[in-house]
Amino acid sequence: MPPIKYLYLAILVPVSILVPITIGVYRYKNLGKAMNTIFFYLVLNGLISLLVRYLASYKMNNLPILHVFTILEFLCISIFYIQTLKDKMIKRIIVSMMVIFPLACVINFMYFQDITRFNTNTRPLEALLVMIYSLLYFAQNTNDTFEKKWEESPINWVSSGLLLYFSGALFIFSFSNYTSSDMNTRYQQLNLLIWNIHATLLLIMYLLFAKGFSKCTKK
Amino acid sequence: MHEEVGDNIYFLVIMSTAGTALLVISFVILFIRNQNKLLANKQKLHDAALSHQKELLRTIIKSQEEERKRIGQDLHDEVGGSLSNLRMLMNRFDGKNKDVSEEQKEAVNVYRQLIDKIVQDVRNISHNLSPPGLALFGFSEALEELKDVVSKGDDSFISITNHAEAASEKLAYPVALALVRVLQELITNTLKHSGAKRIGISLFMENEDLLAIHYTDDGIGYDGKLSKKGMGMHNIESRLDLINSTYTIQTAINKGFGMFIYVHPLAQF
Repeated sequence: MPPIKYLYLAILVPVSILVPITIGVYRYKNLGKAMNTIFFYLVLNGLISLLVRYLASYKMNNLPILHVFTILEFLCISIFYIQTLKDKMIKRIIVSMMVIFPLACVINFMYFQDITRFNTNTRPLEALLVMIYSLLYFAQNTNDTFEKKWEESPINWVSSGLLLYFSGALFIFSFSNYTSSDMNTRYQQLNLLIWNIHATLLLIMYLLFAKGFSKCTKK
Repeated sequence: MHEEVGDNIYFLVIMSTAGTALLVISFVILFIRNQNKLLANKQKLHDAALSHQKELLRTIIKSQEEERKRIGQDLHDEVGGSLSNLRMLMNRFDGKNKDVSEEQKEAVNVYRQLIDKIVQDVRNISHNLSPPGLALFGFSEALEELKDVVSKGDDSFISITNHAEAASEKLAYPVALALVRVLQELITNTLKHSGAKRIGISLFMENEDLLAIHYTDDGIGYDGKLSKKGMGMHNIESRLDLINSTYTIQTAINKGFGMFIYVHPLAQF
């Protein structure tokens, strides 16, 4: 059992992933392709965080998982946006990103950043790319091709969740090595604060996903 | 890190994250508002087009009814009148007139029967064109008329039960007319396609404030999912739409045909 100050960070938020997953299971038949990808992403996310917790309980460094997870996460979200965006040119660019970004990640942990530390080069890059995807999705909806109210489309909720999480966490990803490198008390507290903020953003994203799943009803 | 700067670091982190979140959230909210406003506008345009179309349809049906009424009246008054005169003239050749041979008398009898039939036909056609009972005596009377025309003496073919006399008499004339037209159309369909032996029409009140009309026949029915709608069914739908009534159809192959029509007794055309 972690100490009480880590309760929110280490238990409550990771467990909250069960909210969208439960709704996703309940609505599984009506999810459709894109939301299916998000469902898969959530399950992957849950499994990885179990693995991370497991390694942490044995005091092992779990940061190599983050390097791999970054690649998988980016691939999931890219597939989601390929299924969602309509412009063929953009789709082609996303496909090439799905090749370039994993390569960049591998090169990064092989030559630039130690795999046992935060991937502060690639994770913010991922966040930027996802933000761009999300904004492209919003841009696609500015021409009046939409037929229903904004709230009725599950993709809208998911896209907002991704945009909020990745733009909020951009700083956190960038400075994660700085804040966790020095373990004096002040830095530790700062570290706790920013990871709590990160957890809050994650929680909001999960809840927005949950709302999105709840909108997956029969047409 | 210097001590004096370190005092503010939590505040800075929170502020910068809050700033980013504020930007994103307000972006999304503005976006939602804008999109929903556009959608509402689109809906408004669509509604306007729809109501314009409804208005057109209403005008068409109204002028069609007027024309029918005029033709019906002319037919009844002019043609019917002339035929009555003709029949009177034929009476000259009846039994008392000695100049007329037996053969001619027989022929005159045949002509007279023929004229009677034509008079009856003209009457039926003109009543069909504009049901006179409806304006004078109300909906129930119009139904009885309809029954008389269709059953042609065979009372068991069509049965009408009215448990909502009071409400059906309150119907505004155009609404009642629309309902009569719909029933006419349904009966025509039954006669044409179904091979039914019986038609039942019953009126009753549903939930105190809705007049329900249940039409059934025991004919061959049709597959509701596969069949294409014909002109008749389209006419029925547009008439019912115009008086804001709702309806459900129950039919299957060899299971007869049934239709429930619900209309507010005080509905306006």
